[in-house]
Amino acid sequence: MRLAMVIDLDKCTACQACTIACCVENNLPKGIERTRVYPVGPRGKYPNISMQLIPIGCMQCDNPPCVKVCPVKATYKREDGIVVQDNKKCMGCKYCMTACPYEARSFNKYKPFTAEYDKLPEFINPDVDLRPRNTIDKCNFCQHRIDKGIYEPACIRACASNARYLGDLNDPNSEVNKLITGKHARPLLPEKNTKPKVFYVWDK
Amino acid sequence: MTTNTQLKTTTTVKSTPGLGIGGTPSLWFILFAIMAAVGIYAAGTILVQGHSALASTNAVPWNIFVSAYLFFVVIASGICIVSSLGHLLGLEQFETIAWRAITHTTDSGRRERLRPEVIGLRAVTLSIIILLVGMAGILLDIGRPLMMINMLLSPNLTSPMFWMGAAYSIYVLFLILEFFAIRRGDHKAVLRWATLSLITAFFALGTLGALFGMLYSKPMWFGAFTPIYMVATAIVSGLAVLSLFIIMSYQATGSKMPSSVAHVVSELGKVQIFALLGLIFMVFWRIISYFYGSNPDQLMMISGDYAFSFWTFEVIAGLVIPLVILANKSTRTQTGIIVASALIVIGMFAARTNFVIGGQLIRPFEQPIAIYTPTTLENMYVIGLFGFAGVLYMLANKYLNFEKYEQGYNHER
Repeated sequence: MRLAMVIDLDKCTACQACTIACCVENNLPKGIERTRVYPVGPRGKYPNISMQLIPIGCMQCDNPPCVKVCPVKATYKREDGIVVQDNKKCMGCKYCMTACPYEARSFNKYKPFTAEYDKLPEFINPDVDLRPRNTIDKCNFCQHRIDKGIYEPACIRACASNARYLGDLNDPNSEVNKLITGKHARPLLPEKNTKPKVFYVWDK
Repeated sequence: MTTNTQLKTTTTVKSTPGLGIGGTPSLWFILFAIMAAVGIYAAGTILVQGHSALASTNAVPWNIFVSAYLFFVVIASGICIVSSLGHLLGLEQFETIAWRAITHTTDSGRRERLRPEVIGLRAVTLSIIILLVGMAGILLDIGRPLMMINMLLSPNLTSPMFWMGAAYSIYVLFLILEFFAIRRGDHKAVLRWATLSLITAFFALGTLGALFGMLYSKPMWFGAFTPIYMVATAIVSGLAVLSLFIIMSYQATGSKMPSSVAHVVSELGKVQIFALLGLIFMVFWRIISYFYGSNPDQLMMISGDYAFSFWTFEVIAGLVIPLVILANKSTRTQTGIIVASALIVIGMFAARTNFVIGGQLIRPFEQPIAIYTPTTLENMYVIGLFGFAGVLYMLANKYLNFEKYEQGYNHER
């Protein structure tokens, strides 16, 4: 199995529901967003002008530069193709951040939660560990849900316009493969040869 | 607080060569001690407050500590290269290869072969000190320094950072062994450890270049050119720092420089001309490639936000003026070498900042160039690193007395 995601930018409204859902699902502390919406453009000159808002997260590369450079093997690629981060090992050298061409990784500068959060434990997702301080945080396609057999990360669940799809690249009949062949979804920065597994339907 | 304790110890010792004339500590020592105290304060604050006190962001993960680390460890490797060549070329077995023709007239009027290894003790000590200071610099940039144990428990052999860590650990070990061999006067052992530390210095510089050069996400760093550039800058900055410390040390303590050392310093100045020419060749073609490429990060360096630092400090102050001073025989005096070396060191520090910080500022997906300005705490810690180097060097000179070692060097043999 090679898990991949397709984001249909024709459907995406850049509402940031995915960003918030991810923060809530993964107990992310202040200042960390695993997926965020980048504005690209505006391009051209009025009246022929275009602009695109693209949600960016970890591209779960098949040839991940972060895994190559991590000195302590704190980040690695799982058998299903997800690049995960083991914060029990991470020493916070930030080398993976400089190696990533997509700015997909964040450095967690703050303590997991403030005192107000500690008083409201119902806001903490028990399935996910609190993010330790001074380590790296990244998207892992909601690894804890996939391990339970729920192939629906929080961002997909929250997406109001159903712009995100998760599926198996090895299965020719999966929805992601249909979108890649049918709607010409393509990865970002393919010239970096990282073989990303997040594809974008982007007609502009 | 540290200042007071250090001052107290100095007052108990009469005639302290490293710290000043007579019982009072020199102004240099007080200056370095104040800088070190500032650094200790900043380090303590950063350790308590955590990385939220640093200006690094997700777009610019490596801050000024990484450029300071690069600055110091490259100098340390450069000093080792310069001094190891001294040991190797100075010893009997290597006499026929080079330096044979270089003789000098001693104070007593006798002509004898130049012994570049006369400065060996000072160079090796300085190299160890500067390497440790550089490692102190990187330590606060690491989020969880204790987890560095995982470099041993689960090393990733494809990571340049693992190899760099391994190379510098072995390197500091060889330097310490060389240091003790020099102290014992065991010339065979000195030759062995000098050879090994020279090889390790080159390997370490290569891995340090690879640390940056293997990242294809950062076009300013990427390429096989980066490790070569590291070696070139190491030789230039190593020569500059070594001559600067030797001359300043003699002037500060007021002791007479023996002719053997004076000649080695003068030779270092001559070697520096060729080292500078080599580096200027590299930087020149890098600049030309920037004009051709005209990528946002390259334009930022030659005509954007970093242009002032790049042209004024890195190119003109760091390369052109020192070359003019050293190449002109009338200005290649000891004062001239001090000025040229100080300018090279300043230019090299600017070059490291431009390289490490400037290289990270380019962002993907047509995002605007990132911004990084160090916080006061970060600047204070970097000032403190210079203070640590100065204090440690002066303390080392107090106990090891490089001037006396060098003055007595030719009489011993």
